[in-house]
Amino acid sequence: MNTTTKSLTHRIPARADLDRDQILGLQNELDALRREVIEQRGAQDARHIRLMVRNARNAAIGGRALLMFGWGPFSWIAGVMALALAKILENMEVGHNVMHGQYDWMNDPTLDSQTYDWDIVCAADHWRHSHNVEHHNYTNILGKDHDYGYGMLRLSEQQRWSPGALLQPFWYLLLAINFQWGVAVHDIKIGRFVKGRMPRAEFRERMQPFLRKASRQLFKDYVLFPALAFWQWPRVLLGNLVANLIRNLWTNAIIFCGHFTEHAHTYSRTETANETRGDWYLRQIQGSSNLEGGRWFHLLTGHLSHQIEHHLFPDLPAPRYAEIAPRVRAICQRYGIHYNSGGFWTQYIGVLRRILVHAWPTRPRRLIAASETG
Amino acid sequence: MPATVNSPVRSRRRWYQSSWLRPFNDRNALDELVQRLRPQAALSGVRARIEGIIEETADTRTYLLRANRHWRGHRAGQHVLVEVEVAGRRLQRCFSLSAAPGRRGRVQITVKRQPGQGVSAWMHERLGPGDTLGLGQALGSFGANLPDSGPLLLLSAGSGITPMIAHLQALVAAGTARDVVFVHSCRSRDQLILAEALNAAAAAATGIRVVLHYSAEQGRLDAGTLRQHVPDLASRYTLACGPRDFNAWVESLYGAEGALSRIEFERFAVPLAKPGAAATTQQTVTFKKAEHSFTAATGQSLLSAAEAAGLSPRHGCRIGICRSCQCRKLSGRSENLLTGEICDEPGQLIQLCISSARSPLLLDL
Repeated sequence: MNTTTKSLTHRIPARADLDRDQILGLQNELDALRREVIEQRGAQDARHIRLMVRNARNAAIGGRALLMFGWGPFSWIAGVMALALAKILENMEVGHNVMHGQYDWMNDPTLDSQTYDWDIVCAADHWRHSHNVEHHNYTNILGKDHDYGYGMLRLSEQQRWSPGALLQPFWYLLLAINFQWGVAVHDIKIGRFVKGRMPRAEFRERMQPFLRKASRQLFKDYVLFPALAFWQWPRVLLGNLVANLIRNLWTNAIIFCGHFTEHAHTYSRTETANETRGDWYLRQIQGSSNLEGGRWFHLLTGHLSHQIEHHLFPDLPAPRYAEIAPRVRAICQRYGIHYNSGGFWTQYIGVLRRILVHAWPTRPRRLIAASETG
Repeated sequence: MPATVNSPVRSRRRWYQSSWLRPFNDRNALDELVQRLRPQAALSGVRARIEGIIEETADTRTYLLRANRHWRGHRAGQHVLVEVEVAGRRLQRCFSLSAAPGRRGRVQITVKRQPGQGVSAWMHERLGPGDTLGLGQALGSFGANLPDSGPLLLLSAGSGITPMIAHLQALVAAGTARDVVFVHSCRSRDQLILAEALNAAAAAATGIRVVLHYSAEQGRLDAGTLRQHVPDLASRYTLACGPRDFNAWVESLYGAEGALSRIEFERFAVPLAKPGAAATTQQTVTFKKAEHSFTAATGQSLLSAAEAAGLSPRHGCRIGICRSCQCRKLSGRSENLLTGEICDEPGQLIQLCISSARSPLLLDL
């Protein structure tokens, strides 16, 4: 690999330098775009989400049936793929998006953001807090967005380095394999408890939803369904394990491509203290990155491939992101904002490079340069 | 595809309804499957099939419905929440049941098409025989205190006739030879709805006298005309139903007679602030479950108003992103402070941090 920290920081397009009027203009244009989509929202979006719910459900039934009643390696592989597809669709296109409130306007109690629960060990209420409240609000603000590096990875030269970071490529591999568990314990904030900054009673209380949800998920995938298959139990158990693994690797890759690509910017608490809505929009654009692909690729990412549009408007029905993406891109171009978009492998290799590079004590070059010239 | 009406108050999920047991307990999936064979079938919740449609007037239709086995029946004078899905969005409206209880599961509602593209317009344009609707259970107690004997007066105007027909039919079915006067006011003869049912009821019982007042020809119904038709109105136990102005007029009339203890009203419309109401007015906001009311200024977020009143509703980002503060608005007009969107729909979800009251609000909190 010929990458050095120097070339990495040099290739990052600078943050857009907009004055207050431009920020306000950006805000008004994006607000107008949002209003336009809300006016168009209707039967088409309802059909889409119901179709996705059905697809996820049918894939789950098909996959589990193949694992339970099939024989031979081909039916096993087909079963695993179908179950992995079901979990990916349910977690990404249905669960994540429904819990954002993208379909609350439908007034359908089964698609209610505040009561929906998904097929993953992460308790829905934990997710609603760590993701919707913290991550989407404080996107890429170091110290406030706990999704930035998940408290275990150093992804920016502005994060403090410690010798432990040298092992982070290994930690990352572990996280990717067990991603649903990483997501599940994220909102418990175990680190705070370990450092003695959280009373034991609070810790126990925060653990409870996780333990309840995790035990149910484990029971379902590794006891109930294998038991229902009688002597076929090993293939069901193993199939469920592999399906969960595939889902973990896929969601991990997609989610890491959302904010940790090479061109995604980070922010400090002080510079975001007095943000307007326009500043907030700008940060969402510059802190996120898109992936390019076809319709099914977007569906399998839960439209997180349109991370920029999703972060601008987290509660618009996801398929609309693809529709408005060219217009968001045009707006960015007009304001001279870098629109971070690329193919999956380009972006993901960028993420992996970032994990490797910042395992070493990289220096905050840009800040030094700024203070020298200033 | 309107499914079953959800109760505005969310019930706690039992363990066997928990989502981790899907697909075994996926009611929606099972309902979808069953509904391919029988569209009105459902594991829980009332659905009804449209058996027939009667064109009452140019803008009013009666839907003859057959409800599934979850329908627990109704009494005359009750209404029902009807749920339809308009452009992907579930909307609920109340309609009086316009017939007395008959054969099991047979109910009917009479719907006047309101101007604009609302629920009634959608029903008139899109619903035909064979389609299904989501229903709630029968609600209301209009006429529940009707005495078993003594003379009665049924007084209605416009579409207020609907619960009256149910009451007349119930009286006929009970076989009483009571002295009943039914006074109904509408614009003209061709605006009279449920005429056939009315004629049938009047013909079936000797004690029923029907007075029809057509305001286009005879002018607005006033106290003098009413007394002419019913000289002893204050001594009759009375049921009244009509537009808001009509109800107010009847109420003042009975108030003057000192007979308010012998009259029951059925009111349809929830009073709303006028769209162009002054920018800063104080509105009363009620948290239903907490049984707490406070005032909120128009333009002020409900979250800050609630906190100013010492309440602490659940919330998160305070800027309309996370939806932690989302709750169901049971009635009233709210404004989305971000988009300026006005919402009059009952039973919709609103976010406290970016919503403001434009009328008294009732929230499911």
